[in-house]
Amino acid sequence: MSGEATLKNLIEVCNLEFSYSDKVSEYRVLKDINLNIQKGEFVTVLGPNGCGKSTLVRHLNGLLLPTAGSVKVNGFLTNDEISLSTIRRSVGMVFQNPDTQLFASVVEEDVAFGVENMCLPRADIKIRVEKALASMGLTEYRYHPPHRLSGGQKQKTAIAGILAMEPECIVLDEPTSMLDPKSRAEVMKAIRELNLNHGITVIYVTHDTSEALCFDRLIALNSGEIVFDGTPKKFFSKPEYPARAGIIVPPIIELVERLTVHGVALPPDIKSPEELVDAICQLNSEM
Amino acid sequence: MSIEFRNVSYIYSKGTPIARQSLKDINLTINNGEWLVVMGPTGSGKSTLLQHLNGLLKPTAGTVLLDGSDINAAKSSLKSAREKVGLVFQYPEHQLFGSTVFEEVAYGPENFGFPKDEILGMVEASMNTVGLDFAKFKDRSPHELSGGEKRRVALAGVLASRPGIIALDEPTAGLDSAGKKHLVDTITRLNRESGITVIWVTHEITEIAPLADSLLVLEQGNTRGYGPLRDTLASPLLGELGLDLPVALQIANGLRKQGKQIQGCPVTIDEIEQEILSLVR
Ligand SMILES: Nc1ncnc2c1ncn2[C@@H]1O[C@H](COP(=O)(O)OP(=O)(O)OP(=O)(O)O)[C@@H](O)[C@H]1O
Ligand SMILES: Nc1ncnc2c1ncn2[C@@H]1O[C@H](COP(=O)(O)OP(=O)(O)O)[C@@H](O)[C@H]1O
Ligand SMILES: [Mg+2]
Ligand SMILES: [Mg+2]
Repeated sequence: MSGEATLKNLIEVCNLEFSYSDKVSEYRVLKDINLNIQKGEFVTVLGPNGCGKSTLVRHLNGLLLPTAGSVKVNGFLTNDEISLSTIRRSVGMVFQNPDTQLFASVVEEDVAFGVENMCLPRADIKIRVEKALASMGLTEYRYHPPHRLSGGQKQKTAIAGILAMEPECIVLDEPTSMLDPKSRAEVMKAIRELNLNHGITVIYVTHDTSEALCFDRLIALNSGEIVFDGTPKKFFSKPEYPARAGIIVPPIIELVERLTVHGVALPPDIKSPEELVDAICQLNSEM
Repeated sequence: MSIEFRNVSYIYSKGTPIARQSLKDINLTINNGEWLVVMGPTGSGKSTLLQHLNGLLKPTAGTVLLDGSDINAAKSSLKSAREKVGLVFQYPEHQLFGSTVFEEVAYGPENFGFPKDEILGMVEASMNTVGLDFAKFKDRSPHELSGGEKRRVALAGVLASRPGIIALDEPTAGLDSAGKKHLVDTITRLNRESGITVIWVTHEITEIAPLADSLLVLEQGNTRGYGPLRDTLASPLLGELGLDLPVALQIANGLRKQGKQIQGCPVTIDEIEQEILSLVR
């Protein structure tokens, strides 16, 4: 690989193997993962429970270290202890269970915690925290203790804390699983905005196939191996790909398939109820 | 088994500066064998309501009745509510404390005095029910599992005690698509075959809309809608609150907006498929 190409890669995962136990015979959770993620990519990671998604993403900021192989962030190896703090500043992580991430006595402090360690001027910190609280709709909860929030509000607090830090890359592990659809859309909007306007790389783990459709790149894992890497559109274009990743196709895609079998001439890449409605109205006006 | 809420209100941290009224004058009747869905924006009081079902929270005002008697009347009624109502928490971590998955799942049946020789079978059966391979998972620590696996263990633990009422707080969150389907099928079977009463809190209505009987919609602790599921879905309420509608109904509503004729309130893929076919033919 040429020097230039390597530079553009924010994350390089090379022959990564991982096992939680040091017993050699113990089964490997990650098996020979190879993956490059460039700066500014908008990536989703999908796969069944226990397939290794969280394990993989925890390698991306050195929370877990490879049993074999390597992970590099901006060219720095995660198992090089000196680089770890640089890596952690580049890659911010929102965990699957926000309880493990929230510990301050009020929401505002929790959101500010990460930014405060970044040696920024006070005024900048204040602006960033304000903005992050507002973008997650938490302003009215700023003085509440995080452990006294609803599950979804906790998730929002954890996300706001990472947004405020504006790291180069944000990794979110099922960040919206407890949120109502409106809040989900807000989170999606906030991270898309960071991605498009600030070039922030986003890696987003989810089980929600309709959410996955919003990303530019989809990586599917199954049993610790990458079984698909490409666009979401391609992933859902053939039943074979979701099947390989143990994923049931979303109802909208099933419906389009059924209608097509019945001879309704629909365009092939419908992926939302709105698009189906439009396509049906088009059909009717042509008749 | 039936549950009734009479004018139930709840205030967290009552009498402090952060006091928050999370339930306001809730009235509900859940009949034996009924399947109630509870929806509402994040923070609307769904989990608070659920924790009243087995006395984890005590109403600030009003009463919760289990088969006609106040669950908070005495220690004994509270104990019996804990046994009869299986509660699956929003975060499974909050209910996992055993050192192995087996111990975890066996805890309920042991505690509620099921005979020793039956327990092994009960644990194995409920692990199968949630799609956890018995041999593979029984000796593992519940704390060293993936998020979705933890959720399955928590579910198995609650199912193992064979409760008459099961209350599930966003149970499909964190489950993969096969796991979701499996869970919905399991609860449907328990509901249809064993007559278990179900209270299901969720943001995802598509899969369960064809199965459930009634729907309660909360907003800021208030009842915004309550009644037979299809009637409540047919009102514009859910859309106004930014909540999810079944995919079939989203399509039906979209088509209606474009001036197309759609019959009734389609909630399944089959139903909307028929409607669309009769439109285009
Ligand atoms: N701390 C741990 N110790 C030992 N094994 C673990 C630990 N955490 C996870 N595992 C195991 O590693 C495998 C992968 O887990 P991981 O958490 O990466 O899955 P996941 O894809 O994120 O699943 P989910 O969708 O359920 O969150 C699973 O078999 C799990 O049981
Ligand atoms: N332990 C608690 N102490 C104080 N307030 C709480 C606590 N738990 C939840 N709340 C508040 O009560 C309201 C309802 O919460 P909850 O029932 O968890 O909502 P939902 O489950 O609908 O998301 C929210 O405003 C939340 O912040
Ligand atoms: Mg995970
Ligand atoms: Mg809740």
